Amino acid sequence: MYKNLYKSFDNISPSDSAVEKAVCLALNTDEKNICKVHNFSKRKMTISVLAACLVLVFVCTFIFGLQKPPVSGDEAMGDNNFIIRANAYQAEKFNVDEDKAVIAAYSGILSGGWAMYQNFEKESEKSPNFFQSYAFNNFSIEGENIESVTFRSNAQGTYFAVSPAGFFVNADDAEINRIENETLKLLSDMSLSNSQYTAEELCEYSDGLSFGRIYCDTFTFNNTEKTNNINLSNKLEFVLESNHSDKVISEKLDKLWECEQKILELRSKNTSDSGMPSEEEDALYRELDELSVEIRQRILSDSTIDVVVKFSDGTQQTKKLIMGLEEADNNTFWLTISE
Amino acid sequence: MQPHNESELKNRKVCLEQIIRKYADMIFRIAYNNLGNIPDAEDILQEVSIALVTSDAPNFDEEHLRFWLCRVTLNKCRNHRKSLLRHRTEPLTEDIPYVQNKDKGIIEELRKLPEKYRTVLFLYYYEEMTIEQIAKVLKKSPNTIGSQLRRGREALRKLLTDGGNNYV
Repeated sequence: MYKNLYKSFDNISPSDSAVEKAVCLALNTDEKNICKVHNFSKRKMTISVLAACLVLVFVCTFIFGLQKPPVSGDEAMGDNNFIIRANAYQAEKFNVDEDKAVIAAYSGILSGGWAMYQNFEKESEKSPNFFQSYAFNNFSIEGENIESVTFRSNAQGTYFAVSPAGFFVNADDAEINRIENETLKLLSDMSLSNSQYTAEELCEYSDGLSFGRIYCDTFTFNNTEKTNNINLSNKLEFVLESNHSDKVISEKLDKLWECEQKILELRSKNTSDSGMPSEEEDALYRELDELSVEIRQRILSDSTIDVVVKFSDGTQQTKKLIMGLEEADNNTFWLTISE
Repeated sequence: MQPHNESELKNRKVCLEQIIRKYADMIFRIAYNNLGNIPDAEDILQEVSIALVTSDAPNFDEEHLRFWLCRVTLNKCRNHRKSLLRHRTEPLTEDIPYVQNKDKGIIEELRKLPEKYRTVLFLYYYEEMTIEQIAKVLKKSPNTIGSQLRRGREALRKLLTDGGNNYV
């Protein structure tokens, strides 16, 4: 049924002149770029070689530099160790305030966005709540003899959305039902106290997070496959939720809500014309983005995640992760290990 | 990768032209689905063509290139909507493709859906992408896409059967 509806788009095509214009633009732009590259290629080569040498010196100094003290856990450590990797970068301990430029290498650690925003207005509360979920990109725990990995979120308003079914590729009704049933079976085993809501409420009212997911403050992955590289990329998301007891967040949420309502109102007026947003709408969109960043930064400011790894010899090691939002790019998160 | 001789330059030009001609319809339809009007969709087509030239995308394999083009098109649409500098009008010309009345009604109904559902439904049913592929294009988790697909279908079903507009 749905595919037939979209057949209407078969009649929508760019004009021949638009396609020709696109081709000409591309070829002209390409020619200009090639000229520029050839003219500066020699200078670029010299600078590249110099930069490469400096990087090599830096890397050698770093490798043969000071030994890092082992991160202490609250249990016996033994000789076992593990590392945490996100988006190909190893999470290490850096001084957050001074070494921000280095931590920027972690850009793209999380990706995600808006979810469950306006659907959660409770009668007892005047303004809605803010939820955003983020998936960890290429996230893995690496080490030998790992039996299990436990994640524990320590701050109110931050918790996990875990997907036990992992990846799925098709969305027919039978598959959707299967995934939902499997998820519901595990729901009762997981605790959730960092949210203002129960797991059932989140599943029922959320828009974009409920499908195949479990909400919890702590969960454990058992390394049944006995691998040295436990890949959690498709199984783990991090949720940020607003807390109305925080006055600063509460005020920002009220503004966010007003902003959204104004945008919707202006949009409904503008759809009769060309559909282009007005300057007023654009200004509201910018305000919306800024408020969203401020709210996220505030929620993240007290947040830490404990990562506890149990090894096959009975020992255990804990590392504490902290995260933050890059100021220059509000969609980039950094990740490091705290003291 | 920059070409170093005439023959490579010629090959590159041919390659760029082939890519643009092959994917022009796809880029245009995604932009039209997003922005709702033809002049803006054609603007996006030009912008994506320029972005293609300044990237490594022409060297990608076909699947990767397709995702890249979808992603860039959607980003350009998003920027287009937020841009302050967009003030243009397009006089009506005979070049604008004719859309039959019935099709126009369906497309208008589809455009009433929230953008996140509209984009996911379009990519799934029209571009026939899998959930995993859509997740890569939109940089969201597959579970989020699954949920939006399910909710989008419910919203679409309701939209098309309510008010006597029985397209189903």
